[in-house]
Amino acid sequence: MKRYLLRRILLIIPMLFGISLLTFGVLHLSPGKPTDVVTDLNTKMTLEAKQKLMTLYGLDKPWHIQYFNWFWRMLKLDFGNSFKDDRAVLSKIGERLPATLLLNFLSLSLIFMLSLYIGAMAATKKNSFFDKFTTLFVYVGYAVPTFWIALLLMILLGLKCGLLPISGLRSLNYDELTGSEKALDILKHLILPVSVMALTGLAALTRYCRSSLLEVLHQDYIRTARAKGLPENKVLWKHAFRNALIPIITILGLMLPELIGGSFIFETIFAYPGMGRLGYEAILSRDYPLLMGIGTVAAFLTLLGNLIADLLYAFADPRIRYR
Amino acid sequence: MLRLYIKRLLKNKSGVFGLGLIVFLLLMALAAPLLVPQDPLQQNLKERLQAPSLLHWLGTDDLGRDLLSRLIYGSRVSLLVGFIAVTLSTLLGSFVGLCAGYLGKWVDSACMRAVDILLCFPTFFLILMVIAFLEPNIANVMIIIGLTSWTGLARLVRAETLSIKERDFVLAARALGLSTKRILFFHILPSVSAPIIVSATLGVGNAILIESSLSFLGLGVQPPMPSWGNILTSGKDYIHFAWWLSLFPGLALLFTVLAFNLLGEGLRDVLDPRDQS
Amino acid sequence: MCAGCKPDSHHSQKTSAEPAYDDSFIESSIGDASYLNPVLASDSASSSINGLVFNGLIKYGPQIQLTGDLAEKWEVSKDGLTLQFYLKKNVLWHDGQPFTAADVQYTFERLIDPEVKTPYSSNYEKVKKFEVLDPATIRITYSEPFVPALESWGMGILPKHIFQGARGKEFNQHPANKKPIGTGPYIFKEWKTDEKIILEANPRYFEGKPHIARYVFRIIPDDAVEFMELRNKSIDTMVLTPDQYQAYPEFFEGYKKYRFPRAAYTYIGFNLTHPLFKEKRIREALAYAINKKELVAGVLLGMGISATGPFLPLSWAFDPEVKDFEFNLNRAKKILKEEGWTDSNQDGILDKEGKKFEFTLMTNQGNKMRSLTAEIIQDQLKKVGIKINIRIIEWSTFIKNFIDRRDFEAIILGWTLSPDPDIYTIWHSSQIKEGQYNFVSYDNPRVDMLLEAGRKTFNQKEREKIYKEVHRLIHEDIPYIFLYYPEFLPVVQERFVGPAVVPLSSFGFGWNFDRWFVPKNLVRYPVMAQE
Repeated sequence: MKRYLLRRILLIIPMLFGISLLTFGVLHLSPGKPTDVVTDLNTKMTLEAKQKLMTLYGLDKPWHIQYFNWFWRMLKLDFGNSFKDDRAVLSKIGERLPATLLLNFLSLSLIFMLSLYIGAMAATKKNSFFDKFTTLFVYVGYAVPTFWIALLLMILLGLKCGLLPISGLRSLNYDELTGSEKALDILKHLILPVSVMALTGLAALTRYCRSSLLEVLHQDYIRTARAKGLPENKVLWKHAFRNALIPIITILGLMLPELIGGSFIFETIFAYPGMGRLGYEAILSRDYPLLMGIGTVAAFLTLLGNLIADLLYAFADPRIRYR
Repeated sequence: MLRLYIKRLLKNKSGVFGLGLIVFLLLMALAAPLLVPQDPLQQNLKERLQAPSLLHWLGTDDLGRDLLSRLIYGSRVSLLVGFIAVTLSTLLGSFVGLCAGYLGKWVDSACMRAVDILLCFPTFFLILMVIAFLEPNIANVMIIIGLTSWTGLARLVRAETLSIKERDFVLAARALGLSTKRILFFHILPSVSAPIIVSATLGVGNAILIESSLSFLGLGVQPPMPSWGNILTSGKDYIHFAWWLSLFPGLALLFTVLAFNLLGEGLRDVLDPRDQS
Repeated sequence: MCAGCKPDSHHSQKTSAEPAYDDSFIESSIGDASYLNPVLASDSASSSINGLVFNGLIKYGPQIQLTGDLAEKWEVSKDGLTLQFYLKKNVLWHDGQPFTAADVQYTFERLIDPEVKTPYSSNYEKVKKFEVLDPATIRITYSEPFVPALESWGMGILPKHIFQGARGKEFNQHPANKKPIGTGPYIFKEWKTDEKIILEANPRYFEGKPHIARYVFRIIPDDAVEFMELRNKSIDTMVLTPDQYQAYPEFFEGYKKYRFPRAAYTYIGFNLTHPLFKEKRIREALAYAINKKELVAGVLLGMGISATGPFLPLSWAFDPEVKDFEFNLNRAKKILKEEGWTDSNQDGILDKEGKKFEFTLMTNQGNKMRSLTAEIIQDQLKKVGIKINIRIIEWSTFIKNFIDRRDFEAIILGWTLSPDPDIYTIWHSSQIKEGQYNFVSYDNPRVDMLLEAGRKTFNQKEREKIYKEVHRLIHEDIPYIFLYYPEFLPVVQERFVGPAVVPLSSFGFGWNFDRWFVPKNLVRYPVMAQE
């Protein structure tokens, strides 16, 4: 086990190398240059001035030298400065990541609790009204276009009823509030985005939860457990659940990059200062250092998450053993 | 066997509902030119943003085009994107997942590291990058969605395969000396087909939704060709004073994605050999 | 044309109430600022903030005439080669330090510093000598007369003592770019990236303390949400789209709507080296076939006027004598027929020598007006038998792959105009290299000559004649079809007194923001006492 762990951790390094090279390749094959947006067809800017900017960005050098320079600095944890505003890439990411993680953590907890409950209930009472209703409900949630439902809810709850703030993360008078008021303020701003995110993300987990439970419930050892006269509740929670966790862990592992990367559309609609907007704006403005930084940081965190997921497999299913 | 499946599927009400809706949508997409009340590209600036009426059942858009006609034509784009993208991703994902899970060793490592690398990128981020750099058109949109959404399935199939390959019937098959190919495709594939089918049906819906998200950013199907995504997106700008322009494409998307999911559920119940209560 | 210049809603407010030195003004923007440093920033979000925090030596007055800002007055030598600025005395930086000529010199040195990432260096290339005569006098000598040079001294002046002589990379990354100190009416308070920027009134502002105590700049990236926030009364101003402008009146209870020309035009540009568009007659036919009135009605809902040339109607460079191409389908068809384009195979598309009249019309992604315009034009030209394919491409790709490489047939784009009519970089034939702005490859020796003269002539009467002729010639040559001038449609919460529409508003509605106020009885967000 220890050797396995060590190997996996060592594997992260070449993978990061591969990922950063891939990101770099995609970026440099792409048309457009960072200077396009700065200049924005600014007629006051001459060709010479544009070329000067290219040199200042280090974009006149061949790509492998640019990559090497980047990699060398990255090893020293220096991701360089954003082309857009010359701020350190890491501090830009550091500003956004917590906001995105907060939102995702909250909605994921909600999703997790709801889907375990709904999944378990639906699986044990297969084809009941509850099963059918929740199936429909989670699918409707999944099928509805995010920005559309978000706008509708904002109009209904924010504009018409005035119950919740429409967008943003904090009120304008945030700084004048006391500690508990501050928490309440952020909470109020988070209700709408968290519920919309939970609603639209519920389906996958609930369905997998239900189907894997169903599968497990028909396995011999569950029958044995039942035959032994164990109460149904205990059978479900103790025996069935542990096995049903495998696909759920997989799904969670798959969601990781999205959890870290955030959702551009979502953050745009809610004027939420997260990673998704940062990334998309970086794509549009060809902010290479920032894109490389986001790619590498997201990849690193995801690799770490995957490692944990794989370890959890072993925990959930004793038949899987790593050597 | 097939007859049995069909018979069982017909007993599954929500599955039948989904199937019916999909058949209806397919027929609508195929017969679009015969069905539309008006030319979906015919502009009439004097009648822009008209509310639903007898003349325009679902109202008109910002260039005075008939919304119903545009939605009918839009179904072609959405369904095409959904089917082609998912076909691509399902083939790739199942194949890679099966091989990696069953063959193990270096095949597993190689496949999984490749998947890991791709999985490290937020999918939508990757799609955005490529689409923004390439040109947004329907072929590119389908291919990119297909090529970026197989990795999840591959991992899922691999995980399932991993736990199935230690089961008795596989061990027995191996003991009988059956070929790897045979074991893979005749013993393991059927056992993991349920999650593949569930995932593929969810996938069609997902691909349709991704197209609409790309349209939200103006990177989806290009005008004047109507897709539900770009109609809905232009409806967003008018959500305060022309509700029909976002409501109807929103509902069309919702019901279509729902139909695929319900059908997938139905199929899952039917195909799963271990589930005969 | 100015019928719409007055606020739409009733103006019967009790203006008798005393102006308060209080309240907040909440504005919103689609994107966040980049550098709060006028030398480095080029995006509109940063400019909105920098305009309130910094001052230039000069600025434009309400009638688009240059007036002093940090400069008391200035002189231009007879030969146009020397500029002498006399600076205002007793101007203080926000931190209390006095403003002097050394600050101007420092700012100038950064503008021409080869390692500073400024997009504006070209404006100052022609400066031969920069001298500080005394702490309040500056003399700038040019190597050749350059009229737009004067305008370039509207650049915000930076505090030398804050930057402590930082140059090159150090300047680019200086922390003051995020926490600016200026001389302007508002003092920087706080910046939460992608959320908001907050400024507060400068009690020592040399033109008098502004009335509105706090300025809040919120980032709301989506237009539909921004409008929702406006309806929710959580922002005080917004620039409307034509559809929003015409929405139900109850949406605007408590707001005043304004409507006036904006300093911009939208056009179709032709690649003049493309065989299809080489012939002026063909472009003329297209000009007759495009119904600009329908475009203005369909895209702008009538809130705009059709364009005839590269200047704004309110500019002195604009020649009102220029007659627009009247929409005339028969005339367009006739010209096309004379040029040999007929529909010989009856498929509805014109052809000549076996080739169809078909071209691709490109525009950038993210601009709804332009894509609507493209769709309407596609429909209009179908009526004369021309087939258009629309391609909408992401901005950076569009510029790099198509505009810079001249790899396009026709495009829809727009230009934003600045008060000075110098348009050398767009129309002079020396500007057709990759990456330059004459991407349609327009080449008219007479226009070249006039554009050169326009940059050197200080005499206003003569300049006027020069640019009027430029307007005429470009209109006649049809390198672009000038489509329309859109209108600017801002709304402001009605408690604010002071928003006024003057010619300068076309270049920025908040031109006199430091003079706006809220009557004491209407203050909505009292700002906590901090003095």
